[in-house]
Amino acid sequence: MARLPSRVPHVLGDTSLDRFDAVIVGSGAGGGIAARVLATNGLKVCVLEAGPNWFPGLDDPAPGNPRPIFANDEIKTSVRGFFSWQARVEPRSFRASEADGPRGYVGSVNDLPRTVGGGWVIADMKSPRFAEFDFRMHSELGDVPGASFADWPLDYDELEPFYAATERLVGVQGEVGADPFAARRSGPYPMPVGAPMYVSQLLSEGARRLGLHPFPYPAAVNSIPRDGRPACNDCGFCSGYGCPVNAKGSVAPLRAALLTGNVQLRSECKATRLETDASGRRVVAVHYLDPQGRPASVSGDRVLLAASSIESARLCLLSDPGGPGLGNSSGQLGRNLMFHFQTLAIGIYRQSLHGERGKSVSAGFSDFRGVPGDPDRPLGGIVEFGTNSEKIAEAKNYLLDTGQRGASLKSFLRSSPFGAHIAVMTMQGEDAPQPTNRVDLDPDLRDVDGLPVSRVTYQPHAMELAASRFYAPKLIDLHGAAGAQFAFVAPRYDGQPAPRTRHVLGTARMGDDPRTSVVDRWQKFHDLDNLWQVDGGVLPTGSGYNPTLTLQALALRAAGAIVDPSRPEAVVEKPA
Amino acid sequence: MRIRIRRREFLKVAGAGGLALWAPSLAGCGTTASGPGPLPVRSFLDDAERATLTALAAAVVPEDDTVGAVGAGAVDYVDRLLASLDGPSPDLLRGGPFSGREPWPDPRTGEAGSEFPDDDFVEVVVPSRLQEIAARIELLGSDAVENGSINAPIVPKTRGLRALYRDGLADLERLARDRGAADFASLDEPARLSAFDASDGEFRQAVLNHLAEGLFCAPEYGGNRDGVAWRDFHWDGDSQPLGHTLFDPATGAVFDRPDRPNQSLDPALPNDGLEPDVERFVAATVLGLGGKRFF
Repeated sequence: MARLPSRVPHVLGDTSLDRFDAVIVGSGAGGGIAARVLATNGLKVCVLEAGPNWFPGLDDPAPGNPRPIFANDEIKTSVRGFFSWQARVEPRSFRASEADGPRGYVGSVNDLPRTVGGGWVIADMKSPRFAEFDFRMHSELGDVPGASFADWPLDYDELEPFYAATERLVGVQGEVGADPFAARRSGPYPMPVGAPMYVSQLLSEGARRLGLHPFPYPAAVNSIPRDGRPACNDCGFCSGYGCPVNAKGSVAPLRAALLTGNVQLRSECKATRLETDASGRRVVAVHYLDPQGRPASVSGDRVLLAASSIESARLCLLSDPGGPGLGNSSGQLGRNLMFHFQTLAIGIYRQSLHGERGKSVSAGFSDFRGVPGDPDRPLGGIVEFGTNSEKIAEAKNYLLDTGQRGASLKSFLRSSPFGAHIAVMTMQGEDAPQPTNRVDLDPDLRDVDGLPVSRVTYQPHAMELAASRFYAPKLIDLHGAAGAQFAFVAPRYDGQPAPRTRHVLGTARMGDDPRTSVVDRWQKFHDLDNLWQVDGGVLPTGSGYNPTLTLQALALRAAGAIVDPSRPEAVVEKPA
Repeated sequence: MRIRIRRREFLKVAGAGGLALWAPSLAGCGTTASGPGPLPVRSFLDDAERATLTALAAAVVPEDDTVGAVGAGAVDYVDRLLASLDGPSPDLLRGGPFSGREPWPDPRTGEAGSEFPDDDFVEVVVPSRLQEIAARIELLGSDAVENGSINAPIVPKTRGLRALYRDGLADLERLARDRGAADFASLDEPARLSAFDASDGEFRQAVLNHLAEGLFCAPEYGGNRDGVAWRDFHWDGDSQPLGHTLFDPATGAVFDRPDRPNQSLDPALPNDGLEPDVERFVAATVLGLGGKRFF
């Protein structure tokens, strides 16, 4: 019997395990839920996580655990990088295209947080499903110049049971039927929706006046006590913050995995290389740096990459120095990198909108996701109703971006035009996949441990630029209908530096043809016999919906197929 | 995971029979034990440097009917940041989840109760290896860390905040003397701002960032004394464990805090638009960006 909780620093779970059926690199949304499937089915799993653990008691079966040390603390969280990638010690480089030379910018590039639980810890947990048509975009659109749209090797119906299972395992609140554009569901949401924020109600009323269809945003946050976690009390520090009361479902699957006694999680362990056998088809060891920075390694019968699109690709490239990269016979590894092309419409209202109360986004609409092939309804994305909740960031805006000093600064601080009076709509526009948008290793730059760093080459496609231009004036008018005094669209990302979204997808495209894809329909690398990928990297196209629920449903399905290839849906919800 | 042992729990446990009892609750954590007693407040700036920074902060964010940077303690915030590596563990990240400023909900009614949690923000969280290296580069400069300047000259070396402040504040005094003043503090506020504008760009950026942080940080970081800036500028601050949505345990009903409504307009907040000079600025900015004015 496993002795839980662990008493060993930087190790969670059963510290006595030393032989593993699987090693998972990354403990985020995909890695955590894959670990749950494998561990509840009796496999011994080692999870390597590069970041620290801020969930004391995550592996403690006693009620009331874990007891996260997150807080409503802007200094710790946003200013000093409690969760952040540390660009000073692990920079990335960025360029819009090869014409920029080796790089155009060095620093923070689309970093996802580094922590046990990954980026899902600081997300506000928006969890819509993709649309049915998102799985067959090449069939819908045909060949689009410059883009590499592809059909997925599975359709929505095949993924639907795994969507439903993920919603239950993570705990998603939502209202069936509220979004007329939502894909078919086999059952209800596990929880009703929570309290709507004032700003979301204002914008919903405005949207209805314009004939749009706002709905409560599905989110993996408890609206009622469930699964040993309390209901969200709308503290207001949600997006960008860890939940102080653990109402988010961020690490619910990971905790369940740890409590089986079949998992050992090693935090502050940064994977540096996958070692293969002489055939090149089997990974025999994962090398990493331990919490003190010393080289170490771990082996398992299988390896699952879950380090995020950019870092999983980097690890494959680091594993084949001088070569094309591990698993890259197709030449597609690192390519088709996608973000969501966000259009931000900002409204300034006479009344205070108190954005520091509520869970950042509690409503939105999907009318602007569009219809493939319909020029009157181009493919944009879901629109979120949000606001501002960070006071220090707001003050920096006045001091640094608009250059206010002295008495005029005080007028801005009192009036709070970009704080208390601001409502922000974000459209998560679909980013057309392009083979030229990619991750590779910067030829010169190293991190503080001496390892080559990722370089992102990216520029938006005409498709998302056109959709953004099409919908921007409609978003401005929606602010007017909701009662705004002013509204504008934030200046568009213009190529430099990198887009700032945390929706990072692609680089290990899933497909049936090994010549044009990196992983197969079960997310196993075509080129290797025991290597899988279970993060957002496998998505062939990015849709216009928040992607985490989908990448989790895919990870659940892939892990289920490792356990039972004939009936993966039957093994993915075993109790811990 | 590494978190400093909490002093009050250290005392409680020590009283109950020794540190061994601590082990179960340190699951998976590396720890730095700290003895009882308040955290020492450390300082990097000397008196003259503090006087220069104080005069600068008073000009950038002056006091009027609302608190300014000096009154909020922003200078203390900066000084503590610059001294944050001087203790046994870097004092950069504070604990959680609660500050003790807000109560637990009453278990019978769901409304604000009379019990308050302890202040976890007074505790220091030990950073990870990479977080600590990043902090050392930030404060001491990239040459102070092995491989810290590994990408120079493609990535310019980092000078470090300590050197930036030491040199930048000395530079302000020099600029003041150039303007015929005895020292920076004896310049009037417009002249201080003009000297500041002539100082090093990296220094300027650091100061502006840090004054914003010192104005609105949680008070445990040294600024925003007693939450004065949150109050003066109508911002809630941290709200856990009460939060903004309350739950009646008997009926399961969800309701807003009467003092801080979440789901509706809050009549206690400023709801009558922007001050005229700000409104003019916003109108020009919005129209310049192709936006609309609706009224």
